[in-house]
Amino acid sequence: MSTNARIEGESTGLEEGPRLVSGCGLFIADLRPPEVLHVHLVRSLEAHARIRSIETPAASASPGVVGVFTHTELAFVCDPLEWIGPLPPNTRCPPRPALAQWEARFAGEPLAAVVAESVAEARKAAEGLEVNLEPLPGILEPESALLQRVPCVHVSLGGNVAYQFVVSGGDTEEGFRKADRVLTHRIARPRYHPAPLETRGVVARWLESEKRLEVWSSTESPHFLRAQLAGAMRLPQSAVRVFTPDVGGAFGSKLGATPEELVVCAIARIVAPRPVQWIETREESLAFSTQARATSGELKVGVREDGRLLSISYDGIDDVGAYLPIVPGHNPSAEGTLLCGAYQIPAARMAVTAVFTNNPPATSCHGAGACGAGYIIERAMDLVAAALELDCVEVRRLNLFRELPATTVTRARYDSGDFSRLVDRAVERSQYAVLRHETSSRRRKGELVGLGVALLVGIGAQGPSRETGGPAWEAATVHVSADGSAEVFTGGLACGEGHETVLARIAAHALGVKADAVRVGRADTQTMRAGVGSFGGRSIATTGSAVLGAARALERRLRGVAAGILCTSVEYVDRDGADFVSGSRRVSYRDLCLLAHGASQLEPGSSPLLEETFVFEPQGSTHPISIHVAQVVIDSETGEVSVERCCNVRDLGRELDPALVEAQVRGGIALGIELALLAGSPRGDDGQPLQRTFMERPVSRAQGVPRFDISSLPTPTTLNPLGAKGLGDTVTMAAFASVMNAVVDALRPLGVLHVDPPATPEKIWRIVRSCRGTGGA
Amino acid sequence: MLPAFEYRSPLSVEEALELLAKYREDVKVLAGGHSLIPAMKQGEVCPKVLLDLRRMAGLSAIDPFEDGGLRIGALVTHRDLEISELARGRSPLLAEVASQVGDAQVRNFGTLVGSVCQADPASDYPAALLALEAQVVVASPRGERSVPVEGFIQGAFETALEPDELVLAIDVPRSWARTAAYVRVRHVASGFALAGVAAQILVEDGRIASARIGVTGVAERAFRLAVIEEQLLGREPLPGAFAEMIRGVALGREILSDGAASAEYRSHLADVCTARALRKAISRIGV
Repeated sequence: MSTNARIEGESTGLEEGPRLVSGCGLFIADLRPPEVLHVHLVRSLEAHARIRSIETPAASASPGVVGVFTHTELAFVCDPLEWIGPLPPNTRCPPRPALAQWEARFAGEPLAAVVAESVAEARKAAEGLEVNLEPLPGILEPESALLQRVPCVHVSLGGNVAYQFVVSGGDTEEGFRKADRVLTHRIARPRYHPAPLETRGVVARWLESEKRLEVWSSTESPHFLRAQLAGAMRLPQSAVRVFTPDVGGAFGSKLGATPEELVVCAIARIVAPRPVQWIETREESLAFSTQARATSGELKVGVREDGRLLSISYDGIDDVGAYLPIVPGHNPSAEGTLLCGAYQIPAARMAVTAVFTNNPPATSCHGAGACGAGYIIERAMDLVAAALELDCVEVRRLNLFRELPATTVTRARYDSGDFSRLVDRAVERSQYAVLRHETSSRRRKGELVGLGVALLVGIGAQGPSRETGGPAWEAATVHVSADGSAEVFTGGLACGEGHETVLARIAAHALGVKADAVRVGRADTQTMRAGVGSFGGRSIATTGSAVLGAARALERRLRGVAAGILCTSVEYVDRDGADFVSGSRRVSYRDLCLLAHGASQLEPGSSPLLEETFVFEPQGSTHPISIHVAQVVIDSETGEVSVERCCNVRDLGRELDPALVEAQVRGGIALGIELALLAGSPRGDDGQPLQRTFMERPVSRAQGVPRFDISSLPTPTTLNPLGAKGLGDTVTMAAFASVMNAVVDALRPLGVLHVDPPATPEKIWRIVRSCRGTGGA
Repeated sequence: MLPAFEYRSPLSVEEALELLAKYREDVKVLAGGHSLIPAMKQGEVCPKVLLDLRRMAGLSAIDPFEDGGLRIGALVTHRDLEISELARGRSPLLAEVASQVGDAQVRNFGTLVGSVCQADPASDYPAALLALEAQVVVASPRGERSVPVEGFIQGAFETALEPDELVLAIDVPRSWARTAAYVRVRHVASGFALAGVAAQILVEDGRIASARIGVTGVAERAFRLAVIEEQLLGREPLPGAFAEMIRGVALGREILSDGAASAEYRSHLADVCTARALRKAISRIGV
């Protein structure tokens, strides 16, 4: 047998690549179960309204219609979605109905479901539905949610606070008193929809004879979804099976359970045995689906004249929208622990109040919230540099943690890495000094050109569970059949990142077989009975470690079986290729698997089932690091920002598959540019979405991104046996923050100290115009 | 998902006109389909009959007129215009605009005539077609007529086309100037023009002898800058010499305003693009 799988190496993405790039992926909309019925959701056109009536007879009589459902009908088979298990501290999560009952709380909330033989017939019938809404005053601006005598989004809560957290360390007030200068600035990030290429979708089927519900969903967390759906459908979890087909991007917007999934399950129960399908339209996705949270607040930095930071604080209001998204791993305060970023700051405090508003529900898209704090500290560094007229790299160097491991004052523990080396490498690779010089000379010629740097410390895999408040573990099962073929099952899944390739290789390496002997099963709650999901940067670090553990345990089992067959004890069993040998005796891997299943030669008491399950729980959170240098130029007449150069250096821990990592890094940079320049979900004064198609929602396109210079300085983490820190959205947010810093740098000659994202052309034009006091020309 | 429709693909103009006369408002004409198909998918238009022009002979050509003009058939794609030696030689402005439409995939499918019939106020072409004083060639059971683009496009998504009429081609008169340019600012999502200005100027004896400037994207329909065209006459074509006259070129019109650009910003962009288009056109003198 030829060489066995190595755990690291240049890959080809062979497991899933050919399937996905040749159009042979199987996505939720590709599922066409026989006799399937289609759901069209009728949504509220008002941001906040009382539902007076929904008249269904005309729609029900429309051709092809099987049924029209409102809250009343569905209430017979389901309850609202509710948080299962203990809520995080200081958190309120009102129940979220499948279809709104008395009140619509955001423009786009589902009010009724039309079920028909085809999507077209369902849509057509929906036009005949008479929805009588009485508009109510709403809360669209999060700041107003906390005022006295304003409407409550959830009257039963008696206020609009969803959750609050304070993370602090050291005495920030004392830090500000001792500081030579205290800088304050209001900063904000907008809400936006992350716009995965594949929209959401769900198929459900009720098996009456077995009293079982089968659900296929484009989700990031099948087991969590099962738990939520079982709870709301009044079923034991064992009666609900969730499968995930291929998932075409998620970014946090497919995490957890949503009313649409519940509606489809409830209807499936009513119309059984026919299956029911709902595929989110692009409009529904962009305008009404779970979005990224908005935040705004006051940043305060106390700094010594020499550039050393003494204290930093951020006091912010986050907008979670009309309902708190019910997601696994909900841990917003993790963001607070990262307020110090890569810097040794004696005192830091992050206080966030998250409020309900009449906007669509919003959660942590693009990184487990952590990256927001990364943006804040990186803006702070540039404010300091501007105030003290220091170079922005110099200020960062002054404040860096010189050596890792280290623990920030907000108790984030960075176990490995070398910030100074990363900065040095980025300065060298980007030719920072040359760029600075070029920037100055172009400025003298009147160009608005800027350089921006951001050093982002993110969160990859969170842990341990007792600290994160949510499940930080992941489980994996490795099973070997009688013919030696191996299957891997986990609670996670891939959204196009290439996990199948990497997980198969991890298992193959540990089993001592070739990678093509291992297949990775699709996430399915019946084949993998417990799991957490894929989000943040946990998949390789945590899920991969679980696979490694299971495969190693199974390999030990195989050696034990071999010892019996070879009439020796296990410590004398060696591997030669895939074969098991002891002295001159040998049994091939395949024969061994066959013999084990046959069981006749097994030691008494040992199991013929060649299967091991392993649960991995990280004993700390990993912290991937990325430093990004960006150069931008602004067209002073039109306000258009062009990114001219990007240089990225990363430490994501051990990279098991550099080609797949680099693919994500490139995508991450393009996305970071999008967040800086383009992404926002503007709504009208009435709460109506202004972006419903890709004609309105801008995304990064190939012509809008420059060539990237990317490189890696990996230091393996000690927090998992693979040494992987996870990718998460650290690179994305580094690119995002550096482009924002570059935009501000470009405008600094005009006296600009801060610009909130996105830096859209009209916004920049207005800033330039107001600074110059002329027509902007 | 497309709603159900009857598909017809006539081979001749006569056959197509018969179908139009029979089905009138119920028929939609398909050329490149880049506006129609998405609109059908969205359920915005639900034609009973889809009349596909693509099997009709003679509509795919760019034909030269003896006087130096061009006839651009209804099936000529943006890409055809972009790469045609004839179009680039005789109407470089139009070829320049064509090369900036959408992306490569769009240019390979979408057509000039389709774009003009769609009359999207943010479309790139009308600026150039106004500056070039192009004519739309329309056939109907009553015969053929030529309509100036200025009169053909009547408003946002509105044209002078009758339900039984079919656009066969667009005629672009002989370009009397090589010094022409198109400059626009793109919508960050759609890539359409927030403002786009096409300018062509004729220089004789070192003075501007004639000027045509078309503006698109800013108002419900594209318009000419007649006042500035007039003011330019007799001036020396110096780059940046006209800044003072380019102030509020769109004023007095109802300026579009949406999530991507306010009316104020669009109006400003119209000025910026006008100045830049003139500068670029002038820079091409003698090239």
